[in-house]
Parts: sequence; C-alpha cells; structure tokens
Amino acid sequence: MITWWHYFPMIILAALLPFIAGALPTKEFKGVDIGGGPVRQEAINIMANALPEKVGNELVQEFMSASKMDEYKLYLPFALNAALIMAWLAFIIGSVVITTNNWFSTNRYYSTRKAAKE
Amino acid sequence: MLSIMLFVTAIVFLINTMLFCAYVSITGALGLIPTLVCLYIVRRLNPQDQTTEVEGWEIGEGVDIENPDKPKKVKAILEDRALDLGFLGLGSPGSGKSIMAIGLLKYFTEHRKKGWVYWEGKGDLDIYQKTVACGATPNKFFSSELPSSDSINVFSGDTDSVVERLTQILISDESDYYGNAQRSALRKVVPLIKGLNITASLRDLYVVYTREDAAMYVMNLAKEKEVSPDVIEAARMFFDIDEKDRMEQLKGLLNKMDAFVLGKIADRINAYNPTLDLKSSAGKSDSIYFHLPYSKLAKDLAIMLTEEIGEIAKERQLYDKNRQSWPQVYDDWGAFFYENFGPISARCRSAKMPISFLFQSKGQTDRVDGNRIFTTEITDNIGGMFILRINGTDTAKWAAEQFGEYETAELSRTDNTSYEGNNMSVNETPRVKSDTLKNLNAGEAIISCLISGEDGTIRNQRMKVRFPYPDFSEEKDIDWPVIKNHNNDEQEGLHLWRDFMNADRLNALKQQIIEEDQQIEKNHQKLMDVDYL
Repeated sequence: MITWWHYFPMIILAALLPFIAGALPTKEFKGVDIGGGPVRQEAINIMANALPEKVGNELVQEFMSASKMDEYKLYLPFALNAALIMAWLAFIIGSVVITTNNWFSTNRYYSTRKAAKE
Repeated sequence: MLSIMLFVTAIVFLINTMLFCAYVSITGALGLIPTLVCLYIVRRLNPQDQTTEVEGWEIGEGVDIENPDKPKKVKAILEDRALDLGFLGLGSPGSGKSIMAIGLLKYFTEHRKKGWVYWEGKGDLDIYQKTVACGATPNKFFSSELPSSDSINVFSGDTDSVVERLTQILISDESDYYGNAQRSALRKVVPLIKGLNITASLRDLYVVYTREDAAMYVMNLAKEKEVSPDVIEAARMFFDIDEKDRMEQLKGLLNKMDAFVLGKIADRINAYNPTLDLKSSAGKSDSIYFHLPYSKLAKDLAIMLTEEIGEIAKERQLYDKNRQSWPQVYDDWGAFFYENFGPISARCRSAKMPISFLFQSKGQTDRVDGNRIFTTEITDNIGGMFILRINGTDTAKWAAEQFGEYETAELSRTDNTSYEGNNMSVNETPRVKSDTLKNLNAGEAIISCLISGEDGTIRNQRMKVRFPYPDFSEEKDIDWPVIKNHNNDEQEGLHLWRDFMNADRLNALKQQIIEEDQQIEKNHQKLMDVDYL
C-alpha cells in the first residue's frame, strides 16, 4: 500500500522546482539563453502584466538594474505562488494514485483473507 | 495531508496579502479572506477537542485492549449509564473486590448524591470501617448477627408479595405433596391476617398455625373486621382439616419458620414498627448497609430481603414515573445466589435498581442450578464485567473467554528458485489469556464496559484498569453502629405471639375475659330483677 509517507517527497520536489528553476545559472546554447535568467525574466513579465501599470513599471525598472541576487529576490514572490500551484498539482495526482492503488490492494487483501478463512 | 496543504496555502495567501498591501494597495487585505477560509477548514478537519462529555466514575488511566497488539492509553471512566445496568465483579480473595465496591459506594454518595444498598456477605468489621471512613456512611444498618442494628418486618408488604416471598424461603420442595399443601396453607392464612388491616409479623402467622385458640381468635376478629367472606371461608377450609393432619402437612414449613421466629434475631426481624422499611427507604433513596456474614440464617434472610427488593422493583416498574437510581451492590455474594436471582436482577435493572455482584468463583453461580443456565442468565443481565485477579484455572479460563477474540493476520513470503509467492494466514486469538488474569495485581482488573462514543453511539470497551484506593486513614476510630429499636410489645400490632405464646399471660387474658363476661351476666341479671312496674 502506498501512503503519504511514500509520496510526500514528490510534493516537496514539485514545490522546490520553481525555486530551483529560477536559481539555475544562465548559459548560451546555440545563440539562445537558457537557465535561470530567462525564467526570472519571464516571471517578472507575468507579474508586471498582472499588477497595476505603475507598480508593474516600477518592478520592471527595478529588475533591469538589479544584480543576479536581487533579481532572484524579486522573483521569489512569483516562485512562492508557482510552488504552491505545483504542490497542489502533485497532491491531486498523488491522491488519485494512492486512492486507486490502495483500492486494489485493499480488495486483494480482503479477497486473500476471505480465501484463507474459508 | 490535506490539512498540511491547506495550512501551507493559507501561509502563502498571507504572504501575498502582506506584499500586496505593502507595495500595491490596501485592498490587498481582501486576501485575508481565503487565508481565514483555509485555516477554518484546517480546524474543522482536525478538531482539537475529540472527547465526549460523559458522567461517571473516573478510575484513572487505563489501557484499551480492543486489539491487544496495539494497546492504547485511555482515560478510564465507568459511565453512569453503564453502572446503571449493573456489573459482575469476579476475583479471588485479596484481589480488591471489596475495595472496588467501597470506591463505588463513595462515588454514589459523593458524586451522584444518591442512596445505595450494600449487601455485604463477608461480615468483617474493617469493611464497615472502610466504608464509613471514605465517606460512604450508610443511613441504615441491618445485621444478621449484631444485636444493635436496625429492625425490619419480614412480613411487611401486600398479601401476594408476602405469600411469594414466604414460598421462596419456607417451602423447600415445591413439587411434592407437602410442598403443595404448605403453599396452600400460606395462600389461605396470609390473606386472612393481612385482611385484618392490623400490623402483623411472621410470628403471628406461626402462632395461627400452631395454636388452635389463636386461629379461632383471628377468625372471629376477621368476621368482626368484615374481612372478605371468601377469604374467611378459605381459611375455615384450612382450619377444618383434622389438627393432626394439618400439623403433619405444616411440619416442614414450621421447622423452617423456627429460624425466623425464635432466637435473638427474631425480635429485630418481626418488628411491628421497624426502623428499616425497605419500601420507604427506596422512595427516599436511603443508603443501606446489610451486614450478612454467611450462615444458613443469613442466606435465608438475604433471600427474603432480595425477594422484597424484587417486589419494590416490580412496583417501581409499574407505578413510579420519577424513579431515582438506587443501585444494589452485592459483595462476596457467591454463597448467597439462588434460583430467582436472575429474574430479580433483570427486573431491578429495568426499575433503575441495578444489581451488581461480586463473587469469587464461577463455581458459585454454577452451583445454583448445576446446568449453567443461571450463570448465563446472570452474565446476560448485566452491563459490565470486571475481572480482578483469579487464582483458579477453570474460572480464569472462563473469565478470559468473556472478553472474546480478535483477528490477527500473518503474511509470509517465499522467494526462491522453485517458488515465489505470498501466504497469508488469519487467526482468531483470545483477547485475554487466563494467565493474564492470574498475574493481575490487587485492584487491577480487565473490564468490559459500555462507553459513549461520538454522536451518541455506545459500544463495549475492553480495558485494563486499576481501581482507585480511597482514603481510609480514619478507619481505626470507627466501630459498629449502635441503633436503638422500639420495644415490640409496646407497639401497635396483632400481638398473637405476645398473647398466645406466654401461658401465664394467656391465662390472665382468659381470666380477664371470663370476669368481663361474668360482669356482663351480673349486670344482665340485675336488669332482669328490676320490677319495672
């Protein structure tokens, strides 16, 4: 039987993914930047669009002049919410997997026990 | 896990709210709403207070042994609703039965503020001392051996109940010719005496059976008091039997009655104005201590009193709308069991007079009828079973069986070159082993008792507990009670025993009647001699 004790590391990993993705070093590969930089940039763009215009502009300005560490700090609120969404997705998938698996296990157990008793 | 997820969500919402309020607008405070909703759901999913409020005797920490492989610590409470169904306590000498019973009386006295009846079959002074020392002082005290205890009238009650009670005690064999004749004698004479509406005692009945002149006196008195003619006629049919034959029929009955009408105790159990009347005590919810150390007489008395309790229960069942709980605790009662105990215990339980009994061996209940119906009946009529330390193998085995079995499953796996697979075996294992009962400490018990669950459900809980040891520090200063009884000869009553069993007194009475008769004759003669013309 699978329990949450087996599955909860998956939730933690899912939740850590946005934090790790934003922290990766940025590299150029075949003329395209990949790594943490584009992730942070895309996150700031999404946030700037979601916020009121004035605050959005201030955020973009701040990001443009920030160091890598400050960029990550500005990225953290987005990462936090993304982590929450990832965690809930992992939780829902985990619930389905555990419930289905345990339903089979329980029925197999009862059938075996019934057969043993008979 | 859902609670953890919701809690984390609430924290993230809170951080978002704070950031929004700080950098964007105060309207971000609306984010507190989903935060609080999440926290509310978490609270509902994990209620802090999962206990059910119950009233009962708190006996401390216990261990739930529903599944002995996974024992759980619990707070052991014997709920009032369970105690009001009565219980059976079984334990060897020194296992702590009496201390448990006294603790229960203390609970009834101090917490429930209601009366009780303690039937004590051992008779030790220290039990009385402990009962009083811990605060459970009885209002009434009756002893089969101590002269200075309360008095009772074993002939009290309505006609049918007295006949029933006396039949139980005085007629040993109901199937033979003499048994039927004796039952008939009771049914013909008891209504006659009861019909007089004068307080009578068993001694009066004895005198009516043994003295022709007393019988004649009662018959004449019955006519004078206009007792129902059919009752008088039935009595006449009995008294018309040839005296020799009649006495032959009554021989066994009178022999049995001797124990109740002769001897020192006879005055206290045939009181016209008794200081202890069970019926009124039941109404007032008195606390009564019956001190009945085992003897043949004590057993007969106990049966007679238990039958009276059964009659009170019957009356409460039928007519008492506001009956208060009046528990009966029979301690060390193994030797006192008799056939009718089962039906009485069922009746008492439904009349809120729950019977609880403590005894030492299953053999004591088996002995009653030999075929074990009595034991089954007794165990079926109680709400809880408390098993203390038991030394005897048979009783321990039987007691252990009362706690049933639980299911265990074993899974073994074979994995080798020729075979691979699982094998599961399911076993029913006794929840309690007889050896466990032999190894209990004094006061420790394995109990099976009803408990309330959530949403008003009730289930049977099996626990290992240790009964509390009350404070008996003042017991040494306590002695038997000294109760002053009324002088029976000075009380209002039928007084056949006083008047017909004392030859001098009887002669004096006869002389007085003759003198009165002569006086009437003289007066009549004087009237006749007067020359009215």
